[in-house]
Amino acid sequence: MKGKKLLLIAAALLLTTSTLFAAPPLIAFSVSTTSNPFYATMAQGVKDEAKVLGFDVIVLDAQNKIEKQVADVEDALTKNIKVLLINGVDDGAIPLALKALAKGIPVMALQRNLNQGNMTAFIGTNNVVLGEQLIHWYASTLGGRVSKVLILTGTPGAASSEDRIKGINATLPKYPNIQVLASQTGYYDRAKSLPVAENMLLRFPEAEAILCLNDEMAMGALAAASSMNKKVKITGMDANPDALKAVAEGKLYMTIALPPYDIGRIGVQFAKDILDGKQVQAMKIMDVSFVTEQNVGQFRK
Amino acid sequence: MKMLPRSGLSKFMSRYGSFGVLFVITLAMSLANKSFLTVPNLVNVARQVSINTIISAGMTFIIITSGIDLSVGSLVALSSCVAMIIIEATGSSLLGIVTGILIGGAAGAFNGAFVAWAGIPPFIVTLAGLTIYRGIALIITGGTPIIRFEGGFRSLGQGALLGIPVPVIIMIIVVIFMHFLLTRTAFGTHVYSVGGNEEASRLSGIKVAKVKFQVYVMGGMLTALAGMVLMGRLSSAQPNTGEGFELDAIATVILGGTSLMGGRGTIWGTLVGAFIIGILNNGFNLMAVDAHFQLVAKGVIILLAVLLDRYLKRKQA
Amino acid sequence: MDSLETPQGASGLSAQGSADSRQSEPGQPTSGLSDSGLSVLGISKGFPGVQALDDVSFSIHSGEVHVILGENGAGKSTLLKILSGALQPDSGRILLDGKEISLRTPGTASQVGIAAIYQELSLVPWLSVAHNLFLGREWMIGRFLMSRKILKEKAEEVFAALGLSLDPGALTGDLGMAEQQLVEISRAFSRNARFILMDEPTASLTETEINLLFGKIETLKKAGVGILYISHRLEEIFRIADRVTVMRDGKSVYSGAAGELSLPELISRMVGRPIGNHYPKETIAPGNLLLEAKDGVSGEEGLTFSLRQGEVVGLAGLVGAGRTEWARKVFGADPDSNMRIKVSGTEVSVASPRHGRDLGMGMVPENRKEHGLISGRSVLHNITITIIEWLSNLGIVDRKRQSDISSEFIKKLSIKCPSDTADISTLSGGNQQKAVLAKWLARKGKIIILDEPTRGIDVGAKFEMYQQMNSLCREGKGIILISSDLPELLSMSDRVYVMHEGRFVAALDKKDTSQEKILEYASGLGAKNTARNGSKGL
Repeated sequence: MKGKKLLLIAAALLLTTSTLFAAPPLIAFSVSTTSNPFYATMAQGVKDEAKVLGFDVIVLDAQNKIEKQVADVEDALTKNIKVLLINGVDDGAIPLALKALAKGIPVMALQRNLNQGNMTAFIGTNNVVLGEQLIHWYASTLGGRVSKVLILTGTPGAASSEDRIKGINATLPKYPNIQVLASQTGYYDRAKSLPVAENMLLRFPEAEAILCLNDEMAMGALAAASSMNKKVKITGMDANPDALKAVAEGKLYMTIALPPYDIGRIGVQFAKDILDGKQVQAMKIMDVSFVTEQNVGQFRK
Repeated sequence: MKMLPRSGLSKFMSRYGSFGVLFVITLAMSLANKSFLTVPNLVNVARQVSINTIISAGMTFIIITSGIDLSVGSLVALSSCVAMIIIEATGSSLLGIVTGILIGGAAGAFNGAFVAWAGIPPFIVTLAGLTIYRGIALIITGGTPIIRFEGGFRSLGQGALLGIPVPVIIMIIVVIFMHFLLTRTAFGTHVYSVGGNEEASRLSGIKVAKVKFQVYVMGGMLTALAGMVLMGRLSSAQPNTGEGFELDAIATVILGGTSLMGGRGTIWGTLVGAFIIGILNNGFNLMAVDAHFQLVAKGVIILLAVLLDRYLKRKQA
Repeated sequence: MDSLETPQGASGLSAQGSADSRQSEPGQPTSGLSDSGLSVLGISKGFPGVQALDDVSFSIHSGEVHVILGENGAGKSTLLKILSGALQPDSGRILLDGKEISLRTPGTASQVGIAAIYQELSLVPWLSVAHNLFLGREWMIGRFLMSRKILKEKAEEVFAALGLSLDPGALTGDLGMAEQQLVEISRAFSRNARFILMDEPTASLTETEINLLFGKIETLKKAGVGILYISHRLEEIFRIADRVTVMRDGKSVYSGAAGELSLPELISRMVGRPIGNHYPKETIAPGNLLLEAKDGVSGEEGLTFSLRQGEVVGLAGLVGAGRTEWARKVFGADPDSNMRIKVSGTEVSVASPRHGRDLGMGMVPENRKEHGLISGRSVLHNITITIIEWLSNLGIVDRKRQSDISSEFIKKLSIKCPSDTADISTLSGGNQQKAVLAKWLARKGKIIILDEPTRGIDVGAKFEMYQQMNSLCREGKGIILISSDLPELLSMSDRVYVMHEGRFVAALDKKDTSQEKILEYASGLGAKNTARNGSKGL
């Protein structure tokens, strides 16, 4: 305990002396939780890019608690940071971001959009766009051929699920050759989506594909198809390790990889641009990658 | 007092009011959807209700002693994760499954010991169990699912004997065994007695605490067995699976006519209750009912089913 | 908000009824009472399997006490439930002051001035007396605040009107049974009840408490309240009844002024046959010593309780003297390591009811519903619960033997039930009691503790219980009888121990004692040396 305290004091001293000597500019990244691999990767992206661009960076892990995020950011604001990168725990982070802006500190919202229009920039993916991209991609595999599909949606009321559905529904009219036979919820859960997928496959044996709004449900649908000895194309989202494995083994048709590392990197690049006095894109929607048997190797470590 | 004769049908209805409910729902579903009353779909429904039925059979015993077990969902996750870790380490499905079921028994013993001897209300003990078992499952797996596409354990979920899926066979064996245990053995009599009147049972020389303890151990083992079936079905073990299973199991037991006050209930009723819930889910999927609407409809139908059950019973009582 | 002008208000309502309300009553004597009142005409009510009420007619008038007698199952409770709105009759009419009314819910009954007081009191134990008195009609300051001051004042007014000295601020659960009953009566009274229906109000009261209750009934009568009173205690009738109705098998078989028929005549109407002796006690030469025990408080100095084969040993004492507590320790229900007893000469400390059971003891507890019955389960289940392990092979119950044994005891104790699969809670009190006794007989218990075995059961069932006691004694069993009914205790016991404040204060032989003497010891007045005289060493 004592040793740790001393270390902290030493670190604090080091920090103050380093600012005194006007060393590299300091930026802060407040992240919702690094116990989720997705955000851990994002934080890594921030750190790596900061090193390249010559920033000092402090990463503050809110451990998914908004009150910790508030304390973290308030502390950071006293440390003369130049830019705040923030991945909010929830909308409770909005006042925090506004407080930083009021102090003249630029704020980049990463992955979770906070108070659209006010932030200096948003960098991340968007669930509505993700839904659109899924349909565009699936249509591109068909080449105009008619295909009947089933959709497994996430927990009713969950924003990510509702937004993805919105994107899908907005895009479907562009592809009349994609016919949705039924759309049912699998609650984003492997065990719960299994019977639902079974029931749908039984009712609609003609289905060519099951489009699932996350990988857990895709894995459940996979188990359903194998229990019924049905050959059906199943797609997921998230690029979870088991989903990637299933893609590599040819069981899962496709999963979507989001780019957390790049979100982190671009956040730092934007910070540099702003400090250099350049304009940045206010809304940077990142491209996603469609992982299939052909390119799965790049995504598996 | 004059006693009027009582017809066989009225007796049947008063005992198995939930059966009438099942009949009505089955009829409604088959009228609403042509693919409902087909052999593949019925086999499908049976397979889908198996996991909930196995858990609910244990839950029935617990509720008859006027207890409750909220930890079953977490225990499904914990037992399957432990089993899968053993299977990954040793390559032996049998060793994994046996260990998984023993873990279920141990967790049940933990619940049971606190309920029976420390006298803490079952709601509190198993609520604690709910978070503890989930936590252990997350710790030992590091929060990520373990997937395995090979091994004998998968036949528990995916195999079939003479065309009958293995989960269904396991369910039938569990139901018959538990029915026998409840109705034909001294233990079953003790379970009913403790639920009917704990103090009178104690004063009659029944070891009340022991009976309660045993009921939770058994419930834990059956929950773990259900976990093994789920693991086989999904070819994976997941630390975050099984959330909300406790609510399904409790609803099943209540739909089956078991009283939350204890002392009353049957395993057949629970089986019927499981089918009511299973057919509802199946029917909604077949008819492609909107997800938001399903939530409302399911709750309303469960409420109506319990009301109808009460009405049938009162009418015949 | 209710007014509290009850006494005057209620009496002011008398003398307005119509005369035709009593026309259909057979054998109705001219009582000289006011015509206003509550009548039922040709009421019938059936349940599946039972016709509980069959064309019953009778009436209650303001300012009179009408006692309904009848064995359990005669339909008294059903009638009471119909009058309080808890049950609806299948046919028949209910008239209030000659006008037909319909009592759809207990709420309607309460609105027209009918209040029922059941055996199970409906008070909330953790609220104060005043709160209970006005539950649901609290005086409010604004919308949410309840005025404790007004509540207390109003409660005091009610108690003053009834001449009661109850503390409105006391926690209801801390009061004795009798006081709680008085709170219930006060509540009915404060709600302007014109008719109060009482179901066995004296069942759990001591003699002093009964006197107090009867005094209050007298007060209510004077205030013009009509009282319907259901009781098993025949001797009470002559103290309070103005009129008596006897019911049997759902029918009203007699109605008349109190005093018209003698006690034996009433009993024979109730049971449908004459009963010669109230207490058919047989005396059997005592056999081997079964049990010796101290009171657990007095130490070696104190008296030793002893029980021999073929004996009934009574335990007398006031409520709270510690009789039940002592018996529960002996049996192991409340294990006490200081309490060492000798069973058949071997000294033991009973660790649990199971241990007590295995030593050959059995207890028929005072509170049948809470401690005796496994409600919701069958008669068969209740009788064989103590021997289910004997009936099992590798845990599997031999159902044939189980059914044979239960039938044997149903027959032996003549337990009236539609079948042995009937739910025990549907049986009448007397038959439930017999089933509780049967489980110990099935276990072949040698020492049977009967704690208030005849409380709340009817005359016929009491008589059968006494006969059972005789036959148990003939079989060489020993009985410990705890009873607050002194005549019963004195008549049915061979010897009597008197308890006072947890100690045995006297051991008396039946032939040289009397009710007065027992009461003297029980109230702590008996001379100590008399007590010593009865002492025998362990």
